[in-house]
Amino acid sequence: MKRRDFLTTTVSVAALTYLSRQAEAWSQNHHQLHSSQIHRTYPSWASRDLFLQGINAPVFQEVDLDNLPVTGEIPPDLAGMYVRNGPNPMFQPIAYAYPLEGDGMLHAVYFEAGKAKYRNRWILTKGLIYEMQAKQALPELRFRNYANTHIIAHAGKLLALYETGLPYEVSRDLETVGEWSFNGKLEQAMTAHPKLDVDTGELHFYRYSFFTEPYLTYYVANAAGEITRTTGIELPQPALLHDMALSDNYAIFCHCPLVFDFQQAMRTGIPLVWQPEQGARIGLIHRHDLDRKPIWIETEAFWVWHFMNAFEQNGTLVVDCAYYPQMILENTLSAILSNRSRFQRLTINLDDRTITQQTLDDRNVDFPSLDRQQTGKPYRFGYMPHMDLELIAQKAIPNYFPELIQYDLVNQTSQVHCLQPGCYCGEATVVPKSNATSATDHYVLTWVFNEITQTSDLLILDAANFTAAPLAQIHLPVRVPMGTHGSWIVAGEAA
Amino acid sequence: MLVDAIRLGVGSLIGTLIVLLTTASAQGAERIYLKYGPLLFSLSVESLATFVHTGEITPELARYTSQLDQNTRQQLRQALQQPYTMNEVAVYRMTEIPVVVDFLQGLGEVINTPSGLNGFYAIRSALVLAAAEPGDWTMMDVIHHFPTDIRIDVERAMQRFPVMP
Repeated sequence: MKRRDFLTTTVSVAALTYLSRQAEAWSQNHHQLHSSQIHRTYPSWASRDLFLQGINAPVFQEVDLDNLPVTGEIPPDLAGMYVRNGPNPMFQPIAYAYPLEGDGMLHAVYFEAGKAKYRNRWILTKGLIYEMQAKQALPELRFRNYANTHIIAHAGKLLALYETGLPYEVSRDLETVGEWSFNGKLEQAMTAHPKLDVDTGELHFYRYSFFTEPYLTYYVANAAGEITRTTGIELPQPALLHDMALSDNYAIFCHCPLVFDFQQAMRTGIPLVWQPEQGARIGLIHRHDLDRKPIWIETEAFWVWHFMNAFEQNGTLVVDCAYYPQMILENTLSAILSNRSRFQRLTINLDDRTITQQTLDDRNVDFPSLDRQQTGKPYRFGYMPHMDLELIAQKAIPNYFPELIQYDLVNQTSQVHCLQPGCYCGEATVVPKSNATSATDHYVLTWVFNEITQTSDLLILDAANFTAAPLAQIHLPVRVPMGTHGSWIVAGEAA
Repeated sequence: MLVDAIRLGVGSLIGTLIVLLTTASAQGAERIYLKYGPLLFSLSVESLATFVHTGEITPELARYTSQLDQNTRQQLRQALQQPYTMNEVAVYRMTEIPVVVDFLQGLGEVINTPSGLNGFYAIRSALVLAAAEPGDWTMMDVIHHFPTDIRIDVERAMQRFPVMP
């Protein structure tokens, strides 16, 4: 970067930061909502924790907003609900380990006949109810089931997910129903990243354990929500597995060397340690032949939070993911800046079980998404926000994503939707058009936080014209904090 | 918090387990049985309690502690009389957290009932009852409140919870 560019950038960021702080102070007093729009207001607080500041700061009101103002036009065929989860601690935490902590809050936009309305609600988990009774964070309840990571629809239920707890069922209007254990067949926990086979309605998921064998258990639930398969998978050592991938014939797990180490836990209080000398292992569990033993393929150490997709083609299994050559699991700015990712393709030869790797994009990316109809199949389009580390370093606060990238995997190209200055997006969610005939026939939704106005917009982009202005920009008078994962729920998909 | 839970459990481990390692005891639980491969050793909880409260090593306890240096014996005593203040409601809530349940089930594979059942429910109830006592409580109280005698699988303990010196 030239010196002049550097200065310009620095001055711009400084100016934006100043303006945003002014705006923040102003807006905290001036986002006046009508009392009928406020469901409940809770006492607010501020924290110096990196993950509770700026775009990450929690909100303290549950609101219901109708007739939201829109720039552009909401596509009239958009009928359903976009709902996204994320950590939003109700009470000031004693200590905070993002993203493992923080009460889950759902943000939903309901679309009908070209109109949109918004609602947000906390998920009333058992632990949160105890704290509401105590009117403060309770130290004994850290690392409880916060239900804060994802929300999906399966078997007519909306399920808020957290990887070390059972799913919490919520209603379509975001009322908490309670824990869902698949009729008692699921013990303790399920991943926050199950994979839906859209052809069969089967949900493929797993549970990992740090303390009891098997350290990994793979489950399949049928379209009616009954568990039809439970397969224990031996791991030589307990490990954190955040996501899985699915292809026609395989459930795919990566055993990466971020391992649970009891001695380290006792010594330093951090139970997960990066041990690259162990390498990584990719496990392929056959979906249809229950007797077949898992295939494990060793490769060099890497870490993956999220897979974009996997599919089988010409005797190979292709696995696309946000790939980290190393993972230091600490909530410090230096650790965050050192964990550089890239978009990587791992191609596994199913005959000789060798792996070849290809970097598809070396920009720092994560939170991959695609049209879920394409899960497990050869696909063309995928999306990831660019997690611009230079910007994050300048802001000294994580989770500022200034642009969204559209990948065309068939043509091996990408396009960028640049947000307005001072605006930052989150995960994208793909919504197929109702009359879709080609891969480009979909919308791309993402929450965007405007640090100048301290409010958020929901953007609806046209995949076929990705770099252009949004088809619609739905303006909220409130802020939607940076969150984690969400889903598009078609009308009638969940009660 | 998770690590506190681990520490608490490992206190119990170190309390019981370390205890195990070296000893065994009993009352609620009256005796602690240490299973080591085909061998089973036992120790009265009374001997252990005497050691914790006074530092005196009874002849029965000496059979186990003679292998330990002074420093390790002192660590064991400290671990067993380390005071905790968390009340029974807080302890119970903590033991409902899925990751803590997982931990206690793993611990229960090591700390069993005399017949070899997973000690999860016994450990949980002993923790809650100890925490319900007036004032501070210790891992020695947890051992006293264990509803049955205690059997510890030493080999499995060392493999699953490698915290011993």
